[in-house]
Amino acid sequence: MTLSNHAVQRLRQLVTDAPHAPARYTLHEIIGHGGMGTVYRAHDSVLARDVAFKVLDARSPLIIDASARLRREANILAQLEHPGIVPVHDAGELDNGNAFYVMQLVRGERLDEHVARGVSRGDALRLMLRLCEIVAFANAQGVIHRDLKPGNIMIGPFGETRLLDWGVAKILTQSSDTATSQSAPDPVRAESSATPTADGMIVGTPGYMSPEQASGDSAHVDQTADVYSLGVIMRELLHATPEPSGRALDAIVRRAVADNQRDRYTSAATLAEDIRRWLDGQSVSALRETPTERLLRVYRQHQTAVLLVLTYLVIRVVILLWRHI
Amino acid sequence: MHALARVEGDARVRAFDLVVRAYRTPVIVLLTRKWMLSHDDAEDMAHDFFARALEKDWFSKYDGERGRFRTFLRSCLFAFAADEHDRVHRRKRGGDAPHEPLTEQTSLPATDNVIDTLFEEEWIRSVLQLALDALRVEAEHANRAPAFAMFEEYDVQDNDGTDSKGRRTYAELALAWNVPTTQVTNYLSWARKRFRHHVLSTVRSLTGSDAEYREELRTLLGVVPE
Repeated sequence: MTLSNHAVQRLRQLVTDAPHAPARYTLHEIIGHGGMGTVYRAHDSVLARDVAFKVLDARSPLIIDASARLRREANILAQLEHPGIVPVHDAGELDNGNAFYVMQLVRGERLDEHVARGVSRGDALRLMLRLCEIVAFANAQGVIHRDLKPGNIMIGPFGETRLLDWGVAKILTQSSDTATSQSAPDPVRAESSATPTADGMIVGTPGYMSPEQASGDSAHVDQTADVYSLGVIMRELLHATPEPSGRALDAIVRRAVADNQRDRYTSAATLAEDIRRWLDGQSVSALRETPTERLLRVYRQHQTAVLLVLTYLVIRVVILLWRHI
Repeated sequence: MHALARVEGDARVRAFDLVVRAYRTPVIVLLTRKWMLSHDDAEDMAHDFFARALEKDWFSKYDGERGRFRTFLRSCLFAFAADEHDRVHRRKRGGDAPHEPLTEQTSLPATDNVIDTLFEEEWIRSVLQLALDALRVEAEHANRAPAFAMFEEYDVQDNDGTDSKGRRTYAELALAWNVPTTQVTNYLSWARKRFRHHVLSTVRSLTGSDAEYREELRTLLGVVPE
């Protein structure tokens, strides 16, 4: 049997990556590859539970400050306490100096897998709402994810939405973070200058990254970069649903993915607000409605009441006509 | 490599055999791409090359301090192939024709960089295959054949060509082999550890100095493991 190129690649990784985890953890299979680390399913013998064990790839030392970056990722996750962000249980260094951290094992499927099984427009939009809320929370803490894509979003068996892989997240400094400048100082932001991304370095995933990320203009990457990625994800979700999206939803997507940062929603929270308004049958800020559209929207929003009133009026007219005959 | 240069008898034969097993495919690929030989002709020439190398004791002249063995072997092969090329051309011209320099660079499509990359890739594939063969033998002798079978299925075989898709989980493997999941973990852990050992041993056997060993590991793995 000749080894295929894929097999060669896997075996090379196997030799380099095989980490010697602390005795507390027994490593099982690889369940994912992050920005610069490999994630194993592991068993924590002290707490008798399965966990996810992320360790720096052996090749990652070739990445500048790889260990510092993984530690920083763990630190970011530890500070971001939110149901949509995986909690970190433990962190440290292996004997070979490679950084690792242990987090909750997330069960479920990736967003793209979830959507491939079919999703209604309403479900897709409610999912987008949850995702926007997670991103808005992180942004409010001064953290920009910078790599939002379906592969980094997990949907649990009960619809829980989790945002993974914060390996390339950017921490806004007080001076550059205008959107969150009023919030109280926090530990994440205090650590902001640990590993800044150099200008010219492109961070993100093609197809999902904002134009400013794609151009390597890291100094101008702020929370609107995450808004852009959310817009791309929303567009894909809407394309995957059987129902037509309509002008209002198209307008929301268009504003989210505007090339110019100033034309986008200023934050994931404002994007979420428009989605919520659409779900509630209200007008959205991204679209100026025509009178007909407004009438139709109001009709759809109060369909039962309108029908009752119309029925009442028709009955009254019929009675009036009956009396005059 | 030391065995090739300094040892006589079985150890030397084993060392030579290892070289042939590690380099046969890279040599064939190089001959097909650089000299545009058919696969059959390349196999024949590879056989002749190794036979001549053994007969003339070429590889014992290798000095580990002066460069990689891989580079040395390739130089030997180039010289051998050039001689063969000249010999064939002279024969075609009746033996008295003046010597014509080898012009494979202008007449053949693959550039030196491409040739280097191909040779390196095939060498890596051969080394991993040798380590895999050694692991299979070890598993059989250690009554751990299921460990090798699981390793082969989980870590070696392609499923749908991606890293993890389509592979059976540890739990599914355990069910198929009628063992507890922890046993699957133990088997795979053992196999990976021993595979790693065999890869390092193979590279160690194919190199002539510590510096070359580390250099080749860097080529093979991207880093020098602990």
